[in-house]
Amino acid sequence: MFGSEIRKRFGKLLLFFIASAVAVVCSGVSAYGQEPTSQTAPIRVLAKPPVTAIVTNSDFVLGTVFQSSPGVPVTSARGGKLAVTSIAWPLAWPMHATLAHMTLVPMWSKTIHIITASAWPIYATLGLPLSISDGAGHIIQYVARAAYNETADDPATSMEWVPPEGVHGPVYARANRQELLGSLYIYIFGFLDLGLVPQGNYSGILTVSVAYQ
Amino acid sequence: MVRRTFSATGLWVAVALCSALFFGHAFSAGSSASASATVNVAIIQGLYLQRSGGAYGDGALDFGIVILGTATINPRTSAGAVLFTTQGAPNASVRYDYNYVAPTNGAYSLTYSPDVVGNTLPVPGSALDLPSGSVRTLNSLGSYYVYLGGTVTVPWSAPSGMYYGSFTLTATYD
Repeated sequence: MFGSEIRKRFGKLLLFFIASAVAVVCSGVSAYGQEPTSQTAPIRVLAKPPVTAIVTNSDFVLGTVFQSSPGVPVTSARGGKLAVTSIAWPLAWPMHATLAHMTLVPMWSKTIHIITASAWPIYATLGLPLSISDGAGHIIQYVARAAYNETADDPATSMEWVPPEGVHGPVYARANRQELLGSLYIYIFGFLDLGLVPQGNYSGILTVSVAYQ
Repeated sequence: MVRRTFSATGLWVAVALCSALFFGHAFSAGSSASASATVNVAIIQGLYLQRSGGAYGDGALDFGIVILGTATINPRTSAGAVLFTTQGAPNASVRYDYNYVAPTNGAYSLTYSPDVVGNTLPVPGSALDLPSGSVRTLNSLGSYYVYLGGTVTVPWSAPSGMYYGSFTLTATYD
């Protein structure tokens, strides 16, 4: 009988210990949590190299421009370089005439090479029309147009650059996606609106602005 | 001051408590003697960190497009800062440690300098610098706010593309 009492009490003791341990463990899970606690934040950076524009021949030398007769456009033949440079000046200057136009051929040697990151399109804007001045207030408008090539420095396979908002608007072009450094070749040609301007040396600066889209 | 207590410690305390109760009961059943024990148990609320914020609201420190040079996210003023919200025992002391992996594309690593500040209020503008290893006191609601920013540098030599890194903040009861 005494042994039975001991077994009863030992059984109660065992149950009590098990219940207590389970309770404590459960309370530990719910109340203590885990420490230390950590959180990791991702860091993201999209790196792009800067856009650079290299003008392989910085001067647009149009040479001597003349007008054969008032109101008659003088058009150079396409395909030659700087076709207007060797034409003589036959008439007195200044002229009484309406606007005369001279079409310039694409000047293959006047290449603007734009280097960008690959796979990202750019916006390129030409500062057109260009005002060419003699420094004394006389201005010739150079209404240029452009062609571009995304894959090679090859005007023959270039495409005419048609700005969505006209010549004055920003021009959208894509960089070459085949190379690590994208390239975009731009070729300039256009018209000269001579107007009533005196003879002289006229010059201007054509700007090309490029930026990532 | 709330003392740190582990669950294992709590277990031993509970065992001692149970033993004292049982043997006290057992002895009282067999004799007229009695015993009592005073048991103190310090239970502390769990410590938790929650991450949020960032430029895209996903808790990531996103510097966006960096052309060249440095880009900075000011943790006090920038909406791109990442927020770590600590929740624990009111007025508890918490130690903050952190480490980071600079953004890399796998072959090239950028330079990254973290800028970490903390505040008992959810106000980044008045937050104070929080160097790694700092101990701060949670507010009366058991909260503390850590804001993460930093500066990343993209040199000329960095290849273009995406760079990924990480920043890990660890909070421990002190």
